[in-house]
Amino acid sequence: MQSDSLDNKIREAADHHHPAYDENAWKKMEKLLDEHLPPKKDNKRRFIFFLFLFLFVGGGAWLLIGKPWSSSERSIVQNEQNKLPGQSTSIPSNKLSKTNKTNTVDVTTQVQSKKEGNKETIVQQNKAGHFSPLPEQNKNIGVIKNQLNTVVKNNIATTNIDQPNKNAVNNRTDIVSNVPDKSTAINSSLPGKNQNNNNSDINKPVIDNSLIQSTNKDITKDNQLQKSAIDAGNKTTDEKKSDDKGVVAITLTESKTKNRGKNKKNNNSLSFSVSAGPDISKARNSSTGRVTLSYGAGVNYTHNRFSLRSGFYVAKKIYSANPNDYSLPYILPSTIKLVNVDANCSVFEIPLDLTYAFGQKQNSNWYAGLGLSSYLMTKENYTYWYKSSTSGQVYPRNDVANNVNKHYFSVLNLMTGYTRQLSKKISISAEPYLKIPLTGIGVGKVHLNSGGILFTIGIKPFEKRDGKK
Amino acid sequence: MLSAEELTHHVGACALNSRESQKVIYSSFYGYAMAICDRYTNNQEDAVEILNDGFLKIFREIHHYRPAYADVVSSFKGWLRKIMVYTAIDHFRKNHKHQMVTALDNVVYQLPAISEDAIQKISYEEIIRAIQDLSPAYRTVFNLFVIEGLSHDEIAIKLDISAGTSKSNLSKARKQLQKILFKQNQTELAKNAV
Repeated sequence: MQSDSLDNKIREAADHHHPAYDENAWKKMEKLLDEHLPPKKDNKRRFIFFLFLFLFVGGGAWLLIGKPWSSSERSIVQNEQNKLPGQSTSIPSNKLSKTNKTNTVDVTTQVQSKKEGNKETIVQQNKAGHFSPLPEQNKNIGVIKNQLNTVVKNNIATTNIDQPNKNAVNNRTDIVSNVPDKSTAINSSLPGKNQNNNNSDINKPVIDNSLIQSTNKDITKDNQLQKSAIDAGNKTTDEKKSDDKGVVAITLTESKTKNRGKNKKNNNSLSFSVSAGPDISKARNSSTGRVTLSYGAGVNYTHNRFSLRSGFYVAKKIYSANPNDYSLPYILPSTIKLVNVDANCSVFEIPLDLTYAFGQKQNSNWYAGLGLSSYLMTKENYTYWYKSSTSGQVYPRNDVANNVNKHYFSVLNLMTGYTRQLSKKISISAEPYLKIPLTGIGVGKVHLNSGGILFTIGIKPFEKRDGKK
Repeated sequence: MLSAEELTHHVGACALNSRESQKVIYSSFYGYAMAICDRYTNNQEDAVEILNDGFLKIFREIHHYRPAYADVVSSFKGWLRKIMVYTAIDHFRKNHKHQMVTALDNVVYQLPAISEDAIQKISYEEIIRAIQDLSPAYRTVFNLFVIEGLSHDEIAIKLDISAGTSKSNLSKARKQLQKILFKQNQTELAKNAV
């Protein structure tokens, strides 16, 4: 038949048609291969990416749990300030702060050294744990009482190490006053001999031995503090000033700690951000997809340590899914099986996250948070690989869906991050995150997990340079 | 053309994403693949796009490829051909699907008579050019039915149309093709007469 003849001729023409090789076509092919099938070093990059992600998340979790920034010294200073003048006698030795011990030794030593020029006399006495006769130069009990009062006062007033030297003769009544005057009792209970020694006993200052013993224990335990305390007594004026500064710094730190609560209450701010970073996706049991770039802009409202933020982000989800992870929207003939699905999807993401800042320092803080994202699938490009059971060959079929699937608040966000203030208005952040779907994503209802790191520049346009609003 | 051993070696290297082997296979099968692709489009750029998309799919899934029969080269060519055809179909569905003519069950197309001599005088290049000049919908159905040998039911599944639409488009394609070839033939006769 005529049409058969023509058809045969057409088939012959098709068989004999061989266009010549075009190098330009290969150059275009190369670009495609570089984009979709880059060289194998990507696996190393992927490994390094996941290593950094693990370090960030693990480091953040460790900081959250371990809180290495919290200092025990501050609690010591706080204990100091919380003590009342009369409390020192009732405080057991194990609760004596180091500062206390330091000042006690410091002042006592200083006083004695000034009076006697012999520091070690007192130290020896204290270590022995009992009172031994003072040198005859210091027979005035009243003076000694005043000196010891100064010790207690200076234990409390840690802001002024210099004071003890000046106030060496200030009153100290607590230790002495709380201790029964044993001099008379001793004198009365020990006849003869004691009477002979009365004068010297009377001249001895009555000091609470238990307190001294407890102090001695602390002193023997911490020789370095003793030495520094002694040295502090011998410091020059300049050195003492620097010590003052240190103490003032502690005081200021304390005031900062106290004021932090006040600042927290007034810490509200609105900021905008621009972000970008690598993103990688993976269907549940399938291989990991390609690393792509995610970017966008956001708005952030901070109230004390909490921040509420949202934004608009663009991402590409490039992944492969095996048949178990992909729900075909139609039924296949029995002779055809789905082998694999290659997906390339463009996504608009709108997150709504709540974060909490912890470990706040002057210019930086760590934070963690969670939230929900909405995925708007703008373009879904799928290549389905089918295998024919008759021929055993694998064939591709392409399918595209545009603006079909929208998943509102269907993705759970988990994040942690670190923010550093570059200035009052500008900050930078690094935020590793995980996105876990709560529903199936896209045409194939894939359980598509994503992870990555977002690098952000934050801007507070309403923040004045002096920090006031 | 590559030998069976060379092809096996380069297929294995392509599975490891070797760029050199990818270029060898690309250049070796360029003519064969392009001959398929440029029948589905009327411009070179689209043909290269279909070709490169097809090769990308091949290189992506080449690690799944196993020769269906003993002749390694023919088996590979058969696999490559199928992928190129499906890529061309996807390209058509993406760009021209709306151009499919609806089936008109009661219409019977009468084709004008062409002599056997006229058919024999038509060159291969003319036939290929004539196929390229068909409208996209006709061209796709014509290629799939006449050259690839698919049935109307298979064409209907692949193009997401009905079998009737496939038949209708084929009839129109033949008519248009004859018109183009006959017009070309008449032009040739007129040239020879002068």
